Amino acid sequence: MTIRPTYDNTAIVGVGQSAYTRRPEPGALAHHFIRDAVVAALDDAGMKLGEIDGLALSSMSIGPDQAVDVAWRLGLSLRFLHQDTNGGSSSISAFGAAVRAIEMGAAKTVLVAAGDATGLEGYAKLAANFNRAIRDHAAALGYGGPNTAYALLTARQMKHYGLDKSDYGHMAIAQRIWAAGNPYAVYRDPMTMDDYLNAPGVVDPLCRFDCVPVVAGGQAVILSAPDRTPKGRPKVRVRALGYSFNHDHQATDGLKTGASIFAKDLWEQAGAGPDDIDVASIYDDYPAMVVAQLDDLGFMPDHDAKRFIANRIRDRSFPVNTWGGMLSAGQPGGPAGCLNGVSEITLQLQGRAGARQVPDAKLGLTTGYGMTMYRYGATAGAAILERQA
Amino acid sequence: MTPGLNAWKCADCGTVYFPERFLCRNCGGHHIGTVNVAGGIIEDMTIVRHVVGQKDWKPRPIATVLIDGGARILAGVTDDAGPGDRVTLSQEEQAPYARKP
Repeated sequence: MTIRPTYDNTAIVGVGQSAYTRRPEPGALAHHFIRDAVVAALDDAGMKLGEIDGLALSSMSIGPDQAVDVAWRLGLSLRFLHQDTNGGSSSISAFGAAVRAIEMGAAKTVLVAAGDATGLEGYAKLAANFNRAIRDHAAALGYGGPNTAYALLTARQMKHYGLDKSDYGHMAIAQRIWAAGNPYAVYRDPMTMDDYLNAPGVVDPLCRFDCVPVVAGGQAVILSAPDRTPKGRPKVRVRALGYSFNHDHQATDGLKTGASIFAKDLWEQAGAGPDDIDVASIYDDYPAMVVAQLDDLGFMPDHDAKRFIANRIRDRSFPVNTWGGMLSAGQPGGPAGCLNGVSEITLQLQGRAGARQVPDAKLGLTTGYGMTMYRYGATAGAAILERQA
Repeated sequence: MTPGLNAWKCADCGTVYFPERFLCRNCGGHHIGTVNVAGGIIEDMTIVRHVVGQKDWKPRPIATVLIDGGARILAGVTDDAGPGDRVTLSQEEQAPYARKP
């Protein structure tokens, strides 16, 4: 018998974020950015700190602290605590753990938080020592971080789908247009195809605008009983969750992400399909990974990525990464970038997305992808969120 | 540089791994020994032109190589070998390199 979970006892009751900055002040910690996001989320939910009895935290840069240290410094006493450090999708994993914690009665109100503040030097150190595989077998080659892995993957994807650079350019430009409506985005100025195509090369075929800009920042989401949703706002509920970890053991060409493993189950849980999605946030550390996830999740049944980009993304008729995505808003560490998707879909479903609002969004999808442990990401996650009628 | 690549191989079913594994995903066996792999084929290639925090960086070619026996690895390229070319593998400390035979 297949278990079809429902998540009737949980709603997203508040969202918040810190400022995003390319160059954090010396001494600025991930903790500070997480704190700012938590303050904003509590304010958004109209809740007091003491009402939080669960924390699900994702960060790559709170070390040597752990989640319980952060809870201590934030003044939280908890009966549910979860820490996920497994890369870019870790906060969508933490989000799922929080939903399940509430559904199972482990906590009433769970704070899902993520944030990082590495600075560029700290990021370079993190990238070269990301795990044993990178440190031992790749760093000495001049690997230099995930740009190299995704350059190789993008080269392969271009051959596979018959894509050229301008196809990725259309994606980056469309997200930049969306970013103009997001006051938190670090890059909001319009970008032309000439800007994109003439940008300095980073790792062939990736140029500057293909590589996600690292920022310091934090995100927070508060989950609680649906009746804790602030008055006047529609309730936002979780319709489906899907996860995959280490789906192919780094043994293939990497063109399929872990989303390909759970896509069918995700849509069955949701009782919906790709055509029903009104707004999506697809984890965009690189444009190629948006293509990969959209195909894995069934958005291009003919697998014609070139046509999908031309007909649906370029003209923004398919609203994807309406907050600008990480490519324009910035990547506040992989985890917080992923949680920004949950926040954005919540705002869209509640009609609170301001200048970037998608009309009458009822059903939204948000994904995470990451943990580039050798040649490409090993983790993937997705949530389908709905506006309750 | 030492010739060949020190990879790993399941003694029970022969699956070749790089990096090391502690259980075989193919057969579940735990007798994983080492194997020296002489060569492979370049599948994709890139040039690393810029790395965060590095000044005076010299562009470095890195390839995905399908090594004999089946694993896909990241390797530095030390000559003009490119996608589709058969390459000979070598190793410096634990880092793999590839060049034309």
